[in-house]
Amino acid sequence: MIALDNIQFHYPHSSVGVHDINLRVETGEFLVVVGASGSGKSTLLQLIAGFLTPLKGRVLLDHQDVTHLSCGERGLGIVLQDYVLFNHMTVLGNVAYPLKVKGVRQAERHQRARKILQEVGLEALEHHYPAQLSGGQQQRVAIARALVFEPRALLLDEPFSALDASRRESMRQELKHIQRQFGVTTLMITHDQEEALMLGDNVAVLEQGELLQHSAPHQLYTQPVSEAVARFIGRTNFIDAQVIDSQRIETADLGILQVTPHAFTEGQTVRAMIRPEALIANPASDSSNRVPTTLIERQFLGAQQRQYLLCGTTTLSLESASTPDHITHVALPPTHIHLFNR
Amino acid sequence: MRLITYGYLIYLLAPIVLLLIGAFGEHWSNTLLPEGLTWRWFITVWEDATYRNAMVTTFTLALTTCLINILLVVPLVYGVTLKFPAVAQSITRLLVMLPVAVPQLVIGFAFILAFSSATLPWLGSHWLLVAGHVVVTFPYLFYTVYADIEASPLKAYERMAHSLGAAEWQRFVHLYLPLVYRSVFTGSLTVAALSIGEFELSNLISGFMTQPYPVVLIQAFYRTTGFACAATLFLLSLALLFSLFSTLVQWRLGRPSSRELPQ
Repeated sequence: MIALDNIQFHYPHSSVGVHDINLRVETGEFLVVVGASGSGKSTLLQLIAGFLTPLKGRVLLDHQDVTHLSCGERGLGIVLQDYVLFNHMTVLGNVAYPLKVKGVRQAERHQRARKILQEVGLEALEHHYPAQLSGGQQQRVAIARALVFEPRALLLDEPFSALDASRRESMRQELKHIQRQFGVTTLMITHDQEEALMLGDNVAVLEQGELLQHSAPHQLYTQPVSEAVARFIGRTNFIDAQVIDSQRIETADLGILQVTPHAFTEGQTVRAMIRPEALIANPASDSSNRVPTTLIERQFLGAQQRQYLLCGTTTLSLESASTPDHITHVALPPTHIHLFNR
Repeated sequence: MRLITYGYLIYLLAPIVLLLIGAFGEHWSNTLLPEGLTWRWFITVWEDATYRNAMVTTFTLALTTCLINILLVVPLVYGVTLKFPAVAQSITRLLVMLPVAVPQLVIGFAFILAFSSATLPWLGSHWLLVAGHVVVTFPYLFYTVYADIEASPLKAYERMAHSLGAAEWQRFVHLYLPLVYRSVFTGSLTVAALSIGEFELSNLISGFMTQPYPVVLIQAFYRTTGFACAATLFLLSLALLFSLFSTLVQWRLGRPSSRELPQ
């Protein structure tokens, strides 16, 4: 279990850092911390790893306060962006290294390293050097090295960024499989929201050093707590509106829209959000929030198509597997509309 | 361009060729080329105890200089790279460069001043000569190793190994030494070559019994031309041998390993 208790850190002569972060990763959980560049996610990982010491707050591992322990004393397995394999050592040497420095006898450490190499499917490459491996193989060696000494938790720093797009997808599956197989508490940081949603049991969104939301991927996507989260996770349509009552809002171009009951006050200006895939093209005439529209652009995305629809001066994007050639109306289902403060 | 290259090569090789011709010549005075052909001068040089002792002194001096340099430079570069703050790094780099910037004559005079007193009466001793050679050759090994380690992934290795629980000595032995051994080796060859050919400082601080070969060599020019040429060729051969060896090793070590395949 990893717990961050009011963690605060900023770099010298700068306000960049992380501010009052409270986060908990349960035993065996896979938490993905996602954020744009400069959001503080790397700083957070370094604070957990022990590469940085927080100015305030505590880092707990399995309920033990490790805030002031060095990284080597924390017992964490770490996989960095570029894997940092030791190029002068073989695959076996790399994987066995954490055991070697802990004084495990050669026969035992080789046996344990071979076992884990087998589990990540690299047993045939134990005598190879890192330079002889593909990016995906190097990553698996790095993961094997991080797991061989049975760490308290596994930290992954953008592990897929060095891979090309075609390898990334299969390596994500593989990582998820390995994580489940070992049942190790895992915290991964990434800037890729798709990766975060796919891998995480839970996802934490960071922006400018602050934790915006920490929830399950589905909840994060369907019920973002703020406009910033909604913007960062997935594609979104935003519409400015004014609250009429607890179930209706008024927009400039789309008229009055039905929404699910909310706590905003009458007359308050809000921003309504709806995902592109929630829009319905050419809905039945009695559908809620049915508005006339004009198709202005269509993009082919493979399995999906994206349509840009013009409603007055508001442009909405609609995504679906198949859509009619002509779109005259679009519906915004009330249950998919979320309101945020403006 | 080609003409300039050939011209430079001729300029470079002409004295060596003349030395070679002179060393095998029986007599050489007031003629364009020497007269007669002989091995005699090489045998005379070899049989002269002064020159033989000087050769031994030069060899041991070069070897000791290399060893001491390695013992100093290897941990210093590690410390400078990983432990020193940026300002201390800059100051160290500057200080290490001093023996190259300051004329050896000045260093020699400083040694004479410091070590000819009754308190430190070591002028003329073998170990002071070693110390002098270490001072003048130190920057060459330091900068070879430092440049190599700056371009290496040492800092990332250190961080990773630390996180895996490796103690500092383990990181030094398991990661740092394998990263620097090539540059230590090639840098040491340069140090040895410099030490073997060093004259200016040695001439000022060596004693009668500790004269290295270049200092003794100067006396050969008061003897016959053939003897002087043969004696110089010994030194030249050694310098060439080290240069060739150093180039060969650098070429071998610098080549991408056969085990590194394109990804």
